[in-house]
Amino acid sequence: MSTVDETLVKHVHDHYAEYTYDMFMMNMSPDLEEMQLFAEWADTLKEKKIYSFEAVRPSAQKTEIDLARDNGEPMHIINLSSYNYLGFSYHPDVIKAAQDAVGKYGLGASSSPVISGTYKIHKELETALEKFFDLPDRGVSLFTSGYSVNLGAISAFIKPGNHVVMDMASHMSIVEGARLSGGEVHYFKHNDMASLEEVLKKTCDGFARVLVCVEGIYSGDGDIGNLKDVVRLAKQYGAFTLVDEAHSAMVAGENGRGVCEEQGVLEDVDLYVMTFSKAFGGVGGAVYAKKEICKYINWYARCRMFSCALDPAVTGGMVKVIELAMTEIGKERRKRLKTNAAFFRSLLKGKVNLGISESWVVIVNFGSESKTLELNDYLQRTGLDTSIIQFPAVPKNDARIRMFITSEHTEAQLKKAAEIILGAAKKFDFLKK
Amino acid sequence: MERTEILKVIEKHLVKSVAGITETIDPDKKFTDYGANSLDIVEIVSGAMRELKVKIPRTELNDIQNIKGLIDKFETYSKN
Repeated sequence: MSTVDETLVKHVHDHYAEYTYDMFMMNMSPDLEEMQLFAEWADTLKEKKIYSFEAVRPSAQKTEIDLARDNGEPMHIINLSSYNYLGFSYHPDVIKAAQDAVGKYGLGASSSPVISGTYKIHKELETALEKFFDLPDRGVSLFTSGYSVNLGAISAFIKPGNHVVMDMASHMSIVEGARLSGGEVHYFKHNDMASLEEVLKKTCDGFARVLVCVEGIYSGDGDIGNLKDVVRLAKQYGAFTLVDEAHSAMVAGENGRGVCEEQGVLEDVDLYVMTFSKAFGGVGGAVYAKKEICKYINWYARCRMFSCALDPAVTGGMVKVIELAMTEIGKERRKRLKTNAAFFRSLLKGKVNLGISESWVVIVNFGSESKTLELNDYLQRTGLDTSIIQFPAVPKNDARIRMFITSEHTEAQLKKAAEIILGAAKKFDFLKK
Repeated sequence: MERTEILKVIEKHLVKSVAGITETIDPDKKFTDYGANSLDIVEIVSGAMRELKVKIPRTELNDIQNIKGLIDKFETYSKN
């Protein structure tokens, strides 16, 4: 590693509290300065015992678990940091199905899905998803992560000269998919139809393809996308739509078909994106679209074409998850999740700033990211693990505690979690005044 | 370093990051007013630093309110 100015390294060590994560994104010189300084920062946080990230779990993502920090310090926490919304990741039938699949097919797929990596279990997963969403002319294209679905699908669908129009609160995978496509990237104000229409007027010229990208539930804000109006406007201007239902597929809607189902637009959406890492309890993702679109994406989404197919264990587990989600178990868990989220929200309402969140992704705004380290350390030490987000995932000075409620949390756990949040709000001065 | 020269470089990186900017850049505005998202802002600031060969200390980047604020920082640190 090249030599970086020692006074800078010492400054990071001595003034670690003045630094925030985003400051090390900047590359200012040909040496590896930002990497060396980031390493110094992270090491200092560990030395000061306030590094609460990357804590190791010795067991499944259940609602209350032990974990160990990087320095070995043990903690016992209520788990609101994992998006295992329906608790399927540790359902015994799912584990058994994953074990059976790995026993039958081995550890990996050992090839790209378009060459020789497609197993029978992958086809079973495609069929299960087609049954779950139940539209006659649609198919599925499987990916190894939710992030890569957006990277691959958007870049296969949009070419240079075309346009991607997205909500300003869109997930980074949509932003990067749009950039990768080479198309022109446009933003509209969050959930603001007047702003969307303004962009559509400029971009829909009858020659270039336009793809409007929105989300069912926005992961940074926890609010619900106005899909009905987005789809209506897109159709009016001849644009296509992509809806990312990462946090809502299998959960929202009577049958778990997402916010699209809830708002009656499932059939009108061109690209329905889902991830298997949230309510599905596994990893990977898929795009659900007309069969000819899926066929094209299978071959022209480069990150799919040049990656190994989904591993058999996860694929087998997913087939069982979908089966369960279509039974009374799924229905009951979906209902319980909504009850739990409403209960938790009621414990915090009026006391802290819940922003615009209105789902099982509960947000508490605490302002400046300068509080993040000590706040997260405090929360974990007092028995609550959350998923803190800050710039650049959300705007500057708008950092948030983000909590994922699941169907499996008990009322007592949620009460305790709310008490911890309110205690933190008092200590770190973000109680609602 | 002239303020106009700094603005020109910032403008270049802003236009490169955000599609469809045709108007003259007003330094009193924020990057977000021109449709830049948070990742764009990191890249604009980073790109401008490399091009102007001026290093603004990382901890000084937090209090920049608008484009003018960034120009001020470049002006200050180009003299060091």
